[in-house]
Amino acid sequence: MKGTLAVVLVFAAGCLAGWSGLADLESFGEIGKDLTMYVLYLLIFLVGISMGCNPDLKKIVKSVSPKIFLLPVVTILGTLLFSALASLLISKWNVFDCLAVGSGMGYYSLSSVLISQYKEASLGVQLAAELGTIALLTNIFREMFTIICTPLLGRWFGPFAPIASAGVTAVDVCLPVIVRFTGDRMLPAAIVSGVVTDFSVPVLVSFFCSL
Amino acid sequence: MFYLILTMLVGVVAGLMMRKVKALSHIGKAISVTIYVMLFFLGVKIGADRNILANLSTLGVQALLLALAGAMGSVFFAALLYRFFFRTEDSRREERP
Repeated sequence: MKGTLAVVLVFAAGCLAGWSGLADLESFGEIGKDLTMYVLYLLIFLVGISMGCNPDLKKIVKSVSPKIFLLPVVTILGTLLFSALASLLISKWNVFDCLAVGSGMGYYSLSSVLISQYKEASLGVQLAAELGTIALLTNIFREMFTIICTPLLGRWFGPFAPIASAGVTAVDVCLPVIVRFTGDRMLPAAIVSGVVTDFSVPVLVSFFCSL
Repeated sequence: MFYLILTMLVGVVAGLMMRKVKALSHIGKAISVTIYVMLFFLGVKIGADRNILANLSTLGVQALLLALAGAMGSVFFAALLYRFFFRTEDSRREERP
């Protein structure tokens, strides 16, 4: 609980700093633009080290079975099914718009750009940008939801739940949180799931945009 | 994506070579701190984007609904998958005194 509060506070502090202009990534020029990317690489490097110096690494690598590929499959199918159901509550967008947004699987940068681009022809510039913004927010929310709720999801729904909830981000942003709260033995599952869903994003988003 | 996985593999190799270094037992803390830094930057990006802020109320509700639907849908099926295909072998391995 203490960890969750800290996460929310840090994020809120970041929002305030960005809004007030106290922290301005643009003012750092080119470095500022890619700063978060560098931090992400640092994070992944640290996760790699913690994997490498883990004495159980051999056991983990051995435990990857073909069965684990079922996890990204149910992750994608579950996301699409519930996104279609949610579209019944949103009158503004049709079911394929909502499926395109859901297919982002947490990959907000890629899905929002793809959607606002692909949908321009059929929806017009402004509506396409709006749907793109929704895709951005939806997938940011999904990432935040996963980071914040991973301890609870793991306890209530089993160790696969946070990995599924993370979608693509199971392999990068959410990976450290997942490993911390479900244990090192979930690392292969998280990586396999994250990589497979990552490949599905451009395919599914453009498919649902074209319908 | 490729470079990200490559970076991780380099880290794994580095970790393997430094297995005996005692200080590495604190790597979990370093990871936590880095997560906080990334979360802060994510906040900065959202806070600085006036377009996102102005439309947050109208678009945000729809986005929240879709985010929860997507997350819970995948969680629901992942929980079923774990329960019926993975739990038995896993709990055997996990047995603790």
